[in-house]
Amino acid sequence: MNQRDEFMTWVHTVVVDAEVALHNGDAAPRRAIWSRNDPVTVLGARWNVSGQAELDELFARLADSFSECSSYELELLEAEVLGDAAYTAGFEHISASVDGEPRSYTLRVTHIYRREEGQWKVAHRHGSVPPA
Amino acid sequence: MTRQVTAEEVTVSATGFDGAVHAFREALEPYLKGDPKPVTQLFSRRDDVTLANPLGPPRVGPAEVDMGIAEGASYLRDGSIRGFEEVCRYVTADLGYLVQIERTQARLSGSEIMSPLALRVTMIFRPEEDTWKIVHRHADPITTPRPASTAIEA
Repeated sequence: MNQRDEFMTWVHTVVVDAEVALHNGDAAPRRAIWSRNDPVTVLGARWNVSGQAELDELFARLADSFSECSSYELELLEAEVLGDAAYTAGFEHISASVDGEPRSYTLRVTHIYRREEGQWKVAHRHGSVPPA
Repeated sequence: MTRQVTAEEVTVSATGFDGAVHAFREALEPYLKGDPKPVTQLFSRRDDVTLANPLGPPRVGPAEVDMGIAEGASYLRDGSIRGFEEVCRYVTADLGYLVQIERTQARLSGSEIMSPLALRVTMIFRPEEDTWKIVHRHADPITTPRPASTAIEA
């Protein structure tokens, strides 16, 4: 398996599992796959953050707001590994309760990753509602 | 297996990447006046280039990305840059990315009003031959994505 295939397998398993857990109210798996080195940044569907402390606060706030994830699908348009960095661009199709209300929605998502000590870590997330 | 990158390579990368970021910010001026060409020239011509802007579905590939950039510019005239708020930039020998808020203004098609615009932006660059090219741009308005006229700041 080449390094792109390994990366893609990690994205479609570990990253997806972490997102499902977050949308079921558990932020720990997502926090575990994010870098502990700065910079880390999020341009989120609801909030923007920069730095470790703001990231921790954001993930806790998100986990409190999400529950009952019945569906999470990652649809990728592009994914590239470039040395010790990588990115994915595509959509998340999600059905979960948000602040107690069942919702189904799609987000455009760009993730950027860094390879740190041999492991991929998420460094940046940009999530936005697609144009109508 | 990854190869060890030298400090010199990262320094050279940073210089080229920083230059590419500067070139993009410069190219936004003519873009805001309706000329897409300088921005278009900064994007990769490879098949994996992508553009996700507030005006429609994501564009994949150079022909689609060219059309997306041209479409965006077609809505704008007499515009200018108000400022950039840089959230972060990061570069390796093989990839650079920039996260910023782009604050601009322009007259939108059909209107004489100079409208302030603000976009949250993620841009990914990679080295190609002797320069750095944009391989992905994801931009959305500060609030919810809407047509060009609704990127206007509240």
